[in-house]
Amino acid sequence: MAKIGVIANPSAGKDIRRLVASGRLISNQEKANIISRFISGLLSKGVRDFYFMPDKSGLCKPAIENYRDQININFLDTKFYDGPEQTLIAASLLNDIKCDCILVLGGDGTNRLVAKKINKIPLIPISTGTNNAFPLMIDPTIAGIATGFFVNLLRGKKKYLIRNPYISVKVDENEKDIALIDLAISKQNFVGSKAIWDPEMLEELFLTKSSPLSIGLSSIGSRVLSTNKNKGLRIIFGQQGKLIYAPIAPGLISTLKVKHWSYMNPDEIIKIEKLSGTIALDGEREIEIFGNNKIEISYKKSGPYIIDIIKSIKQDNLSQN
Amino acid sequence: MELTKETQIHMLKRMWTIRNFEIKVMEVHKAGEFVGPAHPYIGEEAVAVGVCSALKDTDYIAGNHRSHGHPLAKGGSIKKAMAEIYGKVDGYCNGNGGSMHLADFSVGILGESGIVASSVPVATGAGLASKLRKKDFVSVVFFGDGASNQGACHESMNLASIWKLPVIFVCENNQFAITTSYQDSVAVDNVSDRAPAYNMPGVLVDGQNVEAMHEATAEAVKRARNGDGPTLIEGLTYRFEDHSLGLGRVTKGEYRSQEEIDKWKERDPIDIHTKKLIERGTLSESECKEIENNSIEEIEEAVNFARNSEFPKPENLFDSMWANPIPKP
Ligand SMILES: Cc1ncc(C[n+]2csc(CCOP(=O)(O)OP(=O)(O)O)c2C)c(N)n1
Ligand SMILES: [Mg+2]
Repeated sequence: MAKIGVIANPSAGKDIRRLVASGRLISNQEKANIISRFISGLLSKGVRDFYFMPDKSGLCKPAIENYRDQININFLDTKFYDGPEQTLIAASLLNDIKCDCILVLGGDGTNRLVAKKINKIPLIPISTGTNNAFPLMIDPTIAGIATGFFVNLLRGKKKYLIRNPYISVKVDENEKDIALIDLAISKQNFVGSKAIWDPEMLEELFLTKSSPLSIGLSSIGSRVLSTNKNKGLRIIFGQQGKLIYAPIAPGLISTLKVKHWSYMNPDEIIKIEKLSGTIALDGEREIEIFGNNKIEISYKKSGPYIIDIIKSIKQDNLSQN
Repeated sequence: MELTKETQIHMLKRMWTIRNFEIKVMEVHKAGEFVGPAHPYIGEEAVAVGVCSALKDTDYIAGNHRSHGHPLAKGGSIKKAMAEIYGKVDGYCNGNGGSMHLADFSVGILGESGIVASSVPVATGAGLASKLRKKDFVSVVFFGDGASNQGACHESMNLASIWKLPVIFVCENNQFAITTSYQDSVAVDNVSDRAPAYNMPGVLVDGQNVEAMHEATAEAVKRARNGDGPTLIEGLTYRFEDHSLGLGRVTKGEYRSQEEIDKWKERDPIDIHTKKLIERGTLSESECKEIENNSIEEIEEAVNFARNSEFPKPENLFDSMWANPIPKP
């Protein structure tokens, strides 16, 4: 029987970008509702085994109450952890039990944490965060049906999976972290409330993708270069640069001066020295860096898989004819 | 925004002042040097210090029952605060108020109150004063997760929003109201989730991270001074000690586990900040230790000041009842 993991970040979409930009607020009631709808889709395909990350807000409660007699409920033992640590622990537990796929509710940041721990387990990332270049904007009912069809009949078929690239960062030769969409180097000298919204602070930006429809830092890419599926993008900001504007946060359209832009080849190592400030991963300042740190950044193709919901649902529809 | 070294160091100093003040208060309360309740702020220092370090002396704050930390963070006198807790004439309210009444208008401390949520309308009123008198000061109120459920709190936020008052509502979500978990008493998951209902921005901030609290407050201050209205900031934090001194019957284990307390103590706001300052080279380990030691000395002086001060005389009890002279409207 297929095992489905559920990781829902109760704090996604609540940070300072509600104050400094016009970030939306997705209430936890709505997050709970999304989980219920996703499960209804899976149930229609006979999938019953669920492994939830417990959270104090009880995001899973309504789903469990609605489907108590129809699903097998398991809670992951994440002990007393909460916040990002809990997400990391939950993801590695799901990896240990070899679950078949994981529903992730959050934004780019939440998916980044999950991606670090799950090897090849495919994700179904549904957007409840602020900047959502990685997650899908899709109704969870449909995502549930498609996932059910996938785990029953299409499992292991590469055609129905999408592999995502990522950016890796090393500091002084130590593997430090990853970003799924964007890695930015900011002049800001502290992590604080994490988000990035002041264009003056940006030094460099590395992207795995950029679509004209993206919001957040990744929106900058498509304004200087057309994206190439097999390459990353590097952008350097500076006073004598091309003037562009981009929506770097919801409702926040900023003017930026771009000095240099280029593609990044897979596995090519870009070395950066003598910069101090912070490295932001998927829109959140995470790592403080100092002038004496040696930073290495590379674009990698072997990142997390997600289920191709559109192909899977089309296949499901065909199978009914 | 960048954080200057001065601000980073100032924040460490203020957090140590509060921590050691509270440790001392617990010690002397146990020894019977003063009576009555006192609510330790240990574990939550980053909220008061992060917020107050983003304010000017001319900005106002109001607190609640757990309010030794707020006035100390705002720059109030340690000696006067300690003397007030001892109930001595050299205290902030001449010893008539005690632990829950540390007011000092000269550095923008409007005062506190033991009536849960009652300072929220007071601070909102100060915001109205700022607007009516066309001043540029902002007003901040600290209140708990428990207080967030009180009518006065909802009414104040609604008023502040419709009148676009320069008020910053800082909910210190330490996750309990005495023994009741906020999970069981707050209908939404985060107090900041309520902000859209008042048509104001709501932000959830890591209350153990003094720099995160500072940054969120600085942005809310900008918005308030700009005339754009109030903000609700929720600092998620944890009370390391019992609810109040002298409440022996409300013991630790009954409503929260030791494991949970220990887990949160790993996220001590002072440790988190100290580690950063050392990593950045802002301060050395021994300089950080010196700040800690200096604050212990400072508190010792304050305790001696309080011990040596007199109790107020019964015949003076009504002296501070009314303003003198009574100001004209
Ligand atoms: C109006 C009112 N009701 C009840 C009390 C008793 N009381 C004192 S503190 C407290 C809990 C307050 O909890 P919270 O607002 O979360 O603040 P915390 O103590 O956690 O800092 C209560 C119920 C009171 N002082 N005032
Ligand atoms: Mg509380």
